Amino acid sequence: MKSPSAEPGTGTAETPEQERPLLSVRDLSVTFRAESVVRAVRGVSYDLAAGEQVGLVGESGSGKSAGALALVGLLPDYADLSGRVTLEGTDLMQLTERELREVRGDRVGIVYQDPFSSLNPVLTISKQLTEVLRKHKRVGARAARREAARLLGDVGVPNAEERLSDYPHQFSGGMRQRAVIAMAVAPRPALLIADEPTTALDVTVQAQILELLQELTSEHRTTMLLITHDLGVVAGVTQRVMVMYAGRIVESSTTADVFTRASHPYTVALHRSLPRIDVRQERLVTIEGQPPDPTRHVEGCPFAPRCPSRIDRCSTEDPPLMTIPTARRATAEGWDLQSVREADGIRVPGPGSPHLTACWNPPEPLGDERGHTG
Amino acid sequence: MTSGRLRRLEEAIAATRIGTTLESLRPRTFLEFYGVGVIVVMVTAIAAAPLMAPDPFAQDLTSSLAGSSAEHWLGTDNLGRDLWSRILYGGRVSLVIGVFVLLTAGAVGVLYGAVSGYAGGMVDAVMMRIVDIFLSFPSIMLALLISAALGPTVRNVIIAIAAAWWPVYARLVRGQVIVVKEREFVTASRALGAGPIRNLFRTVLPNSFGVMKTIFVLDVGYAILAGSTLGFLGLGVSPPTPEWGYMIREALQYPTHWWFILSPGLALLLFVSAINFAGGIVTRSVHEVPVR
Repeated sequence: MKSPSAEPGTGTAETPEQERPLLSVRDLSVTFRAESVVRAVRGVSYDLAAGEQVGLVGESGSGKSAGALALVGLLPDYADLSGRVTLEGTDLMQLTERELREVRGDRVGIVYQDPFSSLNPVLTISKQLTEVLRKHKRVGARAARREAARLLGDVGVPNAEERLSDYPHQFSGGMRQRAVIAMAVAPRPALLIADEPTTALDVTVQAQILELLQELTSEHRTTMLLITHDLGVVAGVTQRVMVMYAGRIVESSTTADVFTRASHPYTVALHRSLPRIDVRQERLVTIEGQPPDPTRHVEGCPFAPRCPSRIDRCSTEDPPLMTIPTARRATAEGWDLQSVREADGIRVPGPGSPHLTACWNPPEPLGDERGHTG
Repeated sequence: MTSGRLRRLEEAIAATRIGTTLESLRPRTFLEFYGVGVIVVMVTAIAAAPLMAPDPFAQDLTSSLAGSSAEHWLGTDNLGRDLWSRILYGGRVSLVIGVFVLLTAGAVGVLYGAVSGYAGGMVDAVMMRIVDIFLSFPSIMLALLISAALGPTVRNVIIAIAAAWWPVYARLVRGQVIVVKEREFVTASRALGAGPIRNLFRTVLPNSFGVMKTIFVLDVGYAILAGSTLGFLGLGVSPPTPEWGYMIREALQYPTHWWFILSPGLALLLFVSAINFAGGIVTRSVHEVPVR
């Protein structure tokens, strides 16, 4: 067998040229140089097609936010990046800070988690919105103000015209997030990264914001990467889901598949820990143990210590993303990594890619017993 | 003097949260009302000096060092000039010095500190070492040296004090900027494509400056005191321009004529202490601003 650190990415077959994805991420790694070196993202690869809505699910510290912010160079100076990020044919990792600035906002919009802290408290909503418009669309002051009012109305702020001159603290949480979304979509970005956009909001407002994000992105054929720790959030909004654990993608498929046929023990555990409205549960199931310390090197599968379906191989060799049949056969027949690679060909999560799992011993599909309908 | 001022300002900053505005600063205790009241009365009188007092330069050696009378409410000085008038006109000089020192030192210090804090790294280290050099001199010594070199005019006194004062502002603003630049809306603004200049001046600085506004209220009093100190040491505004500090210096030669030394001394005490009492509003009310 090969060394456990062999990672998919470098030798991976590319998506055919005719359907070049909007965003293509290859072997992205993010390391924070803190007191000890923190490996936040460890070799993540995926493709996003134009107009897709894709969920990126993982618990805090799984690297989902760091991986997304890294795309447009928004991580602090003490973060080291490696890998390749191609947006609309441009390699973002090669751009200078000045060139990246043109990409930010203009091609890639970001909606942050906490609308209470992501708006500038000393400027009116109008000023903040019109500044975005004037920078990216090069329109005059008056036209920008008109456009700002229209945008604010579009995201569902009532009396948009009047509310424009309000300061952020005069807005409720939901309204603020709507304003943040208006700013993010104002320059008509090709990619919208929504980083836990509903976590800080009331439950009743969450659904509205998700619906709004979905409406806006499908209307303009904007690609959305929806980052969340909550499987429930991605259910109604996204077509595909990627599950992250300890800085890696561990499962990827259509949203329906991930909900009905979860094939990574971590995803299964996530489902078990989710409250359900249609099943009576005495108590929620927690996942025993802790995620691995990101400052330590992990031998084998990072989920292995907490995994109920752990087999011997899990503690020695980190499983790559592979199709489920391949995973089963690889374990049954003792394939090495090379054979796994050859059996699958494309193993990068992307539009139309098969159900992929990074598990040597994927559990049987759960069927109706736990089947959410996505 | 420097250390007391720096400590006081740092305490105010520590107590102040972003979102504190001058509007939220209303007097509440007796001393605060007193302070605000005295300031209002004195500033009004100083502004209306031409209507309320005779010519401060008119000498009348025949009635020099006279006591209080209907003609000269506070008596006269050694050259027979009306003290009441010289107090009011002297207040103008003090006020002008106080305000312009703040504007000049504030502008330079805020800009310098903002750039230093925002740039970070080596730039910050070098810029702050320069500030340290300035701070290592007692500020009054520095002001004295500069004032002596430039010559005794109101403008030069302002320059001298401002030159000694900006490093404190630079240091305080830098501290604020370093805190604010880590806040999420700054990253959010970068995510919208804002460059460093826009980010600094539209996002970081306005949010750091909220705190600085309250600092400036506190500091007017110190600036006036510094101006008078220079005058008292004979290196401030030159005669015959009326100036409280220089008046006290002159009056020292006539210790028996108590009204001569008492008038400017009391004016200075009243004014500066009033500003300090009123400044207490800042420190108190900022404690009550809720975190947003």
